[in-house]
Amino acid sequence: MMSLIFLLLFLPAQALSVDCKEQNLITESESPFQKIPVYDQNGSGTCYAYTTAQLVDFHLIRKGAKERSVHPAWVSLVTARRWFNDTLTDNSSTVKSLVALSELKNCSYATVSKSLATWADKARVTESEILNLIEKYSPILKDMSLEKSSLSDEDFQSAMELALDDHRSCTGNPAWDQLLPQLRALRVMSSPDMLSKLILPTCETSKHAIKIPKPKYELLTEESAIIGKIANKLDRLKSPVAITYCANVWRDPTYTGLKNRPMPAADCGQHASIVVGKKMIGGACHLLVRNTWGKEFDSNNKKWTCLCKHKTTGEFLDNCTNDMNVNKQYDVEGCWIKGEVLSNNISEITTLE
Amino acid sequence: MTRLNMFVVLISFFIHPVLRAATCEVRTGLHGEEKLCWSENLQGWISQSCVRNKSCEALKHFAKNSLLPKGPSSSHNQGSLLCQRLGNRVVILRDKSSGEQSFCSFKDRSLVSTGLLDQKNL
Repeated sequence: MMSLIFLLLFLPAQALSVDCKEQNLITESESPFQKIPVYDQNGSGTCYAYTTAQLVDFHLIRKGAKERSVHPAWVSLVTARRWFNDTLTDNSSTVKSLVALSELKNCSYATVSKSLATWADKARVTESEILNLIEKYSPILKDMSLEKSSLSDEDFQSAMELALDDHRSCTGNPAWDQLLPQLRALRVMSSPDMLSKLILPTCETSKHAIKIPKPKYELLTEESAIIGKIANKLDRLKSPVAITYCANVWRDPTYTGLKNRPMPAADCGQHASIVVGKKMIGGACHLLVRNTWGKEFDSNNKKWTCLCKHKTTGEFLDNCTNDMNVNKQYDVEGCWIKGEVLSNNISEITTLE
Repeated sequence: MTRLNMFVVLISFFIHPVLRAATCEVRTGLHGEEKLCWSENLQGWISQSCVRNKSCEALKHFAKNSLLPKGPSSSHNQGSLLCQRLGNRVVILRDKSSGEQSFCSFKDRSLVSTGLLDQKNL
């Protein structure tokens, strides 16, 4: 009788609890992340492109690909082309870029990288500046075929003016005005020829279809079951889960950006990353988030406990913190964000299943 | 090594903490290789040129100790935005395992990691 009462009391609670059994897609043996480096999206706002590149490369490498093949800059280009008539200001940029990559095919990482290097040399600009510019090309890409640009210089100039004045999701920032002179200068130095003569034609001859499962997207309308959902997906798929969330949570571990779900707070700083693990820390479920802001401790991640990797030996150091001064010998691979905090800030999840 | 040389080396070591940077590595960008060294003083990665030339622009920036107001959160790497706000250019460098880290390139092309730039600004 007592055990029946115990079961009746205990079962519902257990059913609601999150299965936070330790899982780590980075440290597991033969992890695809051994071939997918930590990215730094630098000043660009193309977080969704970096997220998509990692999701797809993880899938392809797990299926037998020998190396990564998706360049975030290419994802950014095809997303802009495919979804020009739509808007990227809503919450579904990651799934849209997955669809774009499937439909418009992939241009290998090596090919895009080589073209970017040529472009950078010719225009005497940095890779970072090119990535910024590609992001801003979006409004004119519908008129730009993959074979050649059909735009006159005049059309291009006016389109770029519009593009530069545009503040898109994943891009709005106070430094925009300071960045404008650089982008304008780059536009003049680079001209549409760089894109239309370097990257696009090279890729046209070497594009290839990629086989990925149809992306599954979910807009999260309730806060309560979010961590359970992500944990279940990690368990079931054994693949990363892409999230759209408030970047502010990195700097402020007490931040709540989705009080009025699904509308994020004005200071949310909408961002996309991948969740690649889970475990209990101090009695609470934490999720391992792999960001795309470089591989060092900085003001963004220094308040969190992270997973680090030795630069030389490749040995992992879990639970590393900024206080340990690890930047000299270790790279930050991801950080453990408290599930409860994250669920106050995640607005959507996307997976390949 | 003569006694005089040894004396100079030792004095340099104690006078300028940046010179204590012993760990250096090569990272690759689109425009070629860059040599970076770990600065024990700053606790971050800087150009090897700054180890030789203590008046490099990157070190001058830290010497000025001038802070910029913190910007609101966004999806961008905050250190990169800070670099741009200083009027400098951002370069992406990769280590031997292709891991990426952006660096702030000052007018004299001296480099400092955007992570360090960001940490020191707070």
